[in-house]
Order: sequence, then structure tokens, then C-alpha cells
Amino acid sequence: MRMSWLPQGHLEAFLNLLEPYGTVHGPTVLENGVTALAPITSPDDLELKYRHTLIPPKKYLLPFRDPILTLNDGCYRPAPPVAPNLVLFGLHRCDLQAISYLDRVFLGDDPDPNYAGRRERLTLVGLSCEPDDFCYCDPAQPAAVDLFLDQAENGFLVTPHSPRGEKIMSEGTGLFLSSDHLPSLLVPLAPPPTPQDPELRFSDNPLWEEYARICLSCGACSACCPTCYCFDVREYPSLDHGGNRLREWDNCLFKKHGEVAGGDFRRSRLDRLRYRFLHKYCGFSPLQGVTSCVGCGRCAKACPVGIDLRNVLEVTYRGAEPATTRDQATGTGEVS
Amino acid sequence: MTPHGATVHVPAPAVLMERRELTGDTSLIRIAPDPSATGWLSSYIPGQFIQLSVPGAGEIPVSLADMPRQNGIIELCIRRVGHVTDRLKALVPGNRLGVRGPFGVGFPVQRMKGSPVLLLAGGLGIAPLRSLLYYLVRNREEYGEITLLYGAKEIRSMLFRDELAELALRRKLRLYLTVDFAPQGPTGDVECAVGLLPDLLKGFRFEANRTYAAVCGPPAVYRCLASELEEAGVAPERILLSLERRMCCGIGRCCHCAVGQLLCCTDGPVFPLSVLRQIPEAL
Amino acid sequence: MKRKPKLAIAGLTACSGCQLTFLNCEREIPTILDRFQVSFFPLGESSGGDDERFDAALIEGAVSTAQDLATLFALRRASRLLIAFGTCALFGGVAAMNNQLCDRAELFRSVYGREPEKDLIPPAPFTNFVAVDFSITGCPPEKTDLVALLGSLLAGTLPPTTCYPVCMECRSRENSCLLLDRDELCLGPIIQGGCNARCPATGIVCEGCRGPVSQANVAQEMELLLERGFDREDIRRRMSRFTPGWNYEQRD
Repeated sequence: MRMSWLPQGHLEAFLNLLEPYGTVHGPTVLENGVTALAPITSPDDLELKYRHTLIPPKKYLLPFRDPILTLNDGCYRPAPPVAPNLVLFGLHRCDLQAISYLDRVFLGDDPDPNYAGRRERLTLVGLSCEPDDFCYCDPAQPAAVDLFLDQAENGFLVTPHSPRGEKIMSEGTGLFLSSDHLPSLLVPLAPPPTPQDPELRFSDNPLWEEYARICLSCGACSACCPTCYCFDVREYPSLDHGGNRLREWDNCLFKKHGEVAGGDFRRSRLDRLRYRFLHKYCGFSPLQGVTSCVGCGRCAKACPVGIDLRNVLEVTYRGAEPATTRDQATGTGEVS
Repeated sequence: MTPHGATVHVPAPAVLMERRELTGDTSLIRIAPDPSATGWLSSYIPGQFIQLSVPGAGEIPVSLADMPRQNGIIELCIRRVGHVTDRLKALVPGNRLGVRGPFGVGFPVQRMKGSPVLLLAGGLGIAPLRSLLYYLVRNREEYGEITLLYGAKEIRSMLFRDELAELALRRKLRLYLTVDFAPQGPTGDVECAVGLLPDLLKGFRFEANRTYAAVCGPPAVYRCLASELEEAGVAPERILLSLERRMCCGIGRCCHCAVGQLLCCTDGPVFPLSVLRQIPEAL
Repeated sequence: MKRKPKLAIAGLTACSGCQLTFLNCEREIPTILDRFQVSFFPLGESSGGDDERFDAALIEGAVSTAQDLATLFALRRASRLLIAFGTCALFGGVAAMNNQLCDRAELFRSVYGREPEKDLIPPAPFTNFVAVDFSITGCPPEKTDLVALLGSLLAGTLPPTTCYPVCMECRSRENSCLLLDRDELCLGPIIQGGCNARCPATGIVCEGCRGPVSQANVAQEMELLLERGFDREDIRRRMSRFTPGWNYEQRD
């Protein structure tokens, strides 16, 4: 199989090649030391060996606070997002799989206008990674990506996964060399959680009670989760007879999440943890039987009290044999 | 089935036409949605809900209290219980509102054809059932006997008493009323039992194996009503419960309203007991 | 034209910082003054008549004197809506932080060198004394919360409430976690958000100025901070700076 090889020295030219598709954002280390996706002006800004960003790429599709309607003299109008063309460079497989999952949620029946508006202006360039102690992934899961770069010594193997990806490559023919190399991928410790038995939420695993006891309900797990998308909706009238309705990231561990006027359907923290498990690992209609966990490990890493919901799953992940193999199949798992 | 186009996401304009106070905290309002919205509102099936916007305050899910009129006017029964309904209480005819929907799965009125229907309403639960009731009454010949068992806290808080009595008088339905408390002897001009709804059901004789039961009320009564109906011999597939949950978006995205793995806004709010029995936290 | 809603803005025992938040809304003040009649605002101008009625009164501060209580009751009687404006009004704030530590009378003697005045009340949130229709937390409150309240009042309603902790906004802003990454005594997980994690964003820990978030797992935050090597007294001192009334056992 002939592959396209992008030598390390051509990276800057490659980034220039992406520019017509939008402002390039990629993994970088912010001044405060946090790894984040942010605008990239030169290859030197890029943190190519990053583990994961604190906040996943969902921030580009579902901003923390997103006005959805404007209000004027009692009439509502859509608030289309100001969505510039963007290229997200260097996304890991887990984050690309997460975008693919969010696409299923927000681009299905009655596509969400704000999400769709942003999504169509996004070009996604993936980058292979090295797994860390917190993450698991299944390269065979569908991922949303236009181009994928497999990192190797001195360069990258580049594979297009969409017409847009093909187009970008055709525009930069001089940049790519032909190569016989196969992608060299580190296979993670174990595959990510498979869809779980919903009954597990009532299992006698003592971790349920323990996690309910220690969970701070700080919201870090869902803020950092690449597939957590549930949102609160609130309306704010302004001083000039106008106003707006916005949506904002919510978290199922907050008390208000299950409340209605005069009642609460998830009174205890244990109820709320079970709800989180059910949504994350079993899926809600119509995504029943689909786990939205892509195995990035951010939740476990961000939790102040060390909760890792994967520990209540039936599969034991810790202690699984690390495997490092060359795996041709991994390159074919990407679909766009 | 959800309505098409922007009306899923953007409330269609509507105007408050009329308000009738039913009790101290509950009123029946009539609103006229913009003609652009009447088309999709006419697809309303009893038990579905709409999202009603009160400009400046926000949005609430609410079931229609009657089928939409030919001219598009819809009727809602609103109790003042929170942020949005507080504001709604202060509005006067002519004020602007917004409407999205209808959303969700209502009562299976097609499948129910030919069967007797037993409606069980507790408190404000009469409001969503009223649209089903009027649907059945207007299509009277297509259904078997229609019976309404309606329980309220006290006579004063019993909604639509006169019109229900009127329907019963015209032999459109069999009506049984009960109140939790009746401190001062007789209950007025309407015959009314004193006791809880499940107790009223206990002494009630009906053709259980052919009946569809439609239940709506405060969550507390669901469990015992469901058990009573099953014991009486109604198949769990024919016991239909309308659930309340926090439904913000109405289209299965905000994820506050899950009942087990189902979403109240898209899979419900009307669920057969046979489905809910599989979900430990449902009732 | 519709009658302009009448506002009262007043303070009890406090630093006037919350009232200053109003004056700090420079961009909005012309609109606010166009839409509202600010009829009682001792800090900003001379006060109006005693018999005045208000649509809403925004009151800051804790109650610590009989005069505070009289002002509070008078404004409650005169106002359709009473808004607890800021942390002192809601939780007692700085004025109340040492309530548990020493005797009030003794404290008065040592500071003023004379016998305490008769009307001294241990500083307490005014929500202990009157019914409150809405509250805006914060020391000082966020301008956006104040403007949202005024916008809502014009629309005949009150703003929606939120109940997420500081961490939620802090994470969303991609701040470095002061608690986990820098081992600092940060109260973010149990404090009401809405400040856009103003302090942690500049590298300063959350000191809890907005008071407890409704689902705060206080006992666990305490346990976590102890595990991370902080001294129980230091933690309590930090926590009671703005809210003396924590329930340290609260888990759910």
C-alpha cells in the first residue's frame, strides 16, 4: 500500500495549505500551563506529543454558553452563531470519535441550527497519539475526520478520509512524498468501555455508595468530557425590551438537573450518579445501546476525588496488558 | 412526529386571547398561535405537549387542555408553580407568547378505538386528560364506554366540575368524583365521594379486560393506581400513564427528562405501564 | 407611557461595595435611569420621602444593629419585591465571620474602650429576619447579575436561577486547577458559580465569596482539603470568611 508521507520539515507548508479552510487551531500549551486547542501561527506553537487537552473540541461546536434565540418585543428569532471557518489540527482519535457521536445527536432529525452552522465550517485533521494511564480507545470506532496524520519519526503518514481531505491533499501535491511505510500505532492498554448493561446501575458494587458519598458535584467530569452535551436553557430579558435565550453546559450531578416545579426526580447523589452511568455507558433513546465514552480518560483525571466510573463497569481495565503492535487495521477504521 | 422547520427550535408567535380563573392558583387560558403554526398544531394528539414561551421568563412544557380549534386557538390549563407560570399569571389578553411543538408521543387514540376507556385524573392531571376526554366525546361512536374518575384535594380545587357534570348529564361519560377532604359535610350540588383516587377505583366495577386506562396525576398516585388497575385485570399494555419530567428542549437533546433509557419528551410523555414496569426509577 | 418602576437601593452593615456595583454599571446607567425611577438611594443621592412605595428594594449588608433592623423592616413594608443584594445580606459575610470565635460585647469593649451600645445584634444575614423575593450573591455581586435582575424586573419577572459551582465555569475557561495542579486551598467545588471563575482565572484561589452552592458536598471538600495537607482550622477560617454558617457535615 502506497502512503503519502509528509516530512517534518514540510509541516509549516502543510499548515499554510490548511489556511484557506479556516483559522488553524491546534494543541498548544497556554500561558497558565494548560494544554488546550488554540490558534496556531507556526509549527512551534504546536504540542504534537500532547496527551489530551483539558477541554475537548466540543467547545467549538457547543460553546459553554450559547445564545440560541433573541427576544424582541415579545417575539423570538433564531440567533445564528457567528461561526468562522476553522481547521482543528491535531485531534486525537478519541476526540474525533466524540465529534462523530455529537454529530449523531445534533445532526439527526431536526438538526440543531447552531451546531450545524458551526459543524459545516469545521475541517478536522487528526493526529495519532500515545495512550496514557487514563485512556483507552478503539481505533475501529467511527470518527469524524477529513485528514489523518500518523506521527512517525521525522514526519507523518497522511491519509484523506473525506472529499475535503482529498482536495486538501491534491492542493499540496509537492508537499507529500510517496512512502511504503505503514502507520506505526501504539495500541492503547485496552479498548474503551463497551455498551453496558443498564441493570449495572443497581449492582451491589460498593463503589456506587462510595462514589455517591465522595462526589463533590463540581462538574469537572462533564465539562471535560468530549461527549457530554446536556444543557440548561435560560432566558434573560435586557434593559431595552429585548433579551436572549441561551443554553449552557449542564451536569447531571447538579441538583437542579432532575427538578421540576414542586419535585425532584433525582433526589440523591446516588440517583444522579446512576443517571450519569446510564447516559454515558448505555445511551438514551434513540442512542440506546451506544456508549458515548470514547475512552479519553479526562473525567478520571479531572475528578478531584478520584472517581472513575469505569471502575463500576463489568470489565476490569486496570492491569490489562499494555500492547504495542503495528496494526494495519487501525488505519482503516477512520470514516468520515 | 415533530413539526417541521424552524418551529421546532424557534417559538412561533402567539397571543393570549382569554383567561379564566379556575381556582386561586389555576387558570384556563386561550391562546391564538400565528397562522404559520396552526398547521402543525392541528396534528396534535391528546397527551402530546407543547413548549409555551412566556417572553422574558422562559419556556415550560404543557399539554393542551382541549384539542386545537378549527381556527387554531388552543386551550391550556396553567397552575402557578414556578418562575415561568408566575409571569404568565400576570399577563393579560393581547400579551405575546410563543409556542413550539407539538412534541412527544400522546395517547394511542387509533389503537384505543372500539374499547371502553377509563380516565383517571388526580389534581391538575385532569388538564392533559381533558384533551383526550374531548377527543373521545367528539368521536363518541368510535369508542366504548367512557368513564372518568377524578380525584382532587378538596371541592374548591376540583377543576372543570360544571362542564364534566354537564357531559355526564348528557350521558357522554360516566363521571365519578372524589375529594381527599370534605370538612364541612355535603359536597355541594355535585355527587362526590370522600377518599383517595385508588380507593375509589377499588370499588369500581368495569370491563377490565377490554378497557384502556389513561392516568395522569401527581407522581405519588401513579404507583398505587397502576397496581390497582393491574389487579382489576387491565393489561399493562393498556394502562397508559402520562409522566412529568423536566423537559427543556422537547426534542431529546438537553437530556434532563430521561426515564430509564427513554426520554420523556420524545418517547413519552405517555407510556404504557408494560414499558414503565421495566424501568425501576420510572414510577 | 408605562409608569417607571421605583427602586430603592440601600445598605445595612456592609462596606457599600454592592451598592457601588450599581454605580459601576457605567455603560448601562443612562438606560437604567431612563427605565427606572431610583427613588431611594442614600449612597448615591439624598433620600426620598418616608412614605414612598417601591417596586423593588435592593438591600446589601448584614443586620448588626437595631437601626439595621428598622431600616430592613421599613423597606420590606414599602417594597413589593425585596432583593438580598450580595453575600452579607445572604450569608452574613465578612461582618459575621468571627461570630463563633468571640463574645460580641467583649470585642466591642476592646475595640471602642467603652460599654457596648444596647442595640448590638450579632451580625446575621438579613434573610434571617424578613422574607426575600430574590437574591444576588457575590462580594461584590457581578454586574451582569445586577443588570439581569433589572432587565427581568422591566419584563415583569425575576431572572432564572442557577446552581453550578465555580469549578464548572473555571474548567470551561481552561484554567489551571489551583486545587489539583497547584495544591492550593481552593473552595471552587462547593461555591456558587456565576462569577465566571474570576479569581482562579487570574491564579487566585476561590475564597468562597459567593457562598455555598446548593448541592455542596461540604464534608467531602473538607476531607479532600485535609487529605491534601491543609490544617482544619485554616480551612474553617477560609470557609467562614464569607459564610459563617456552614454545615460541615453536609453531604447531600
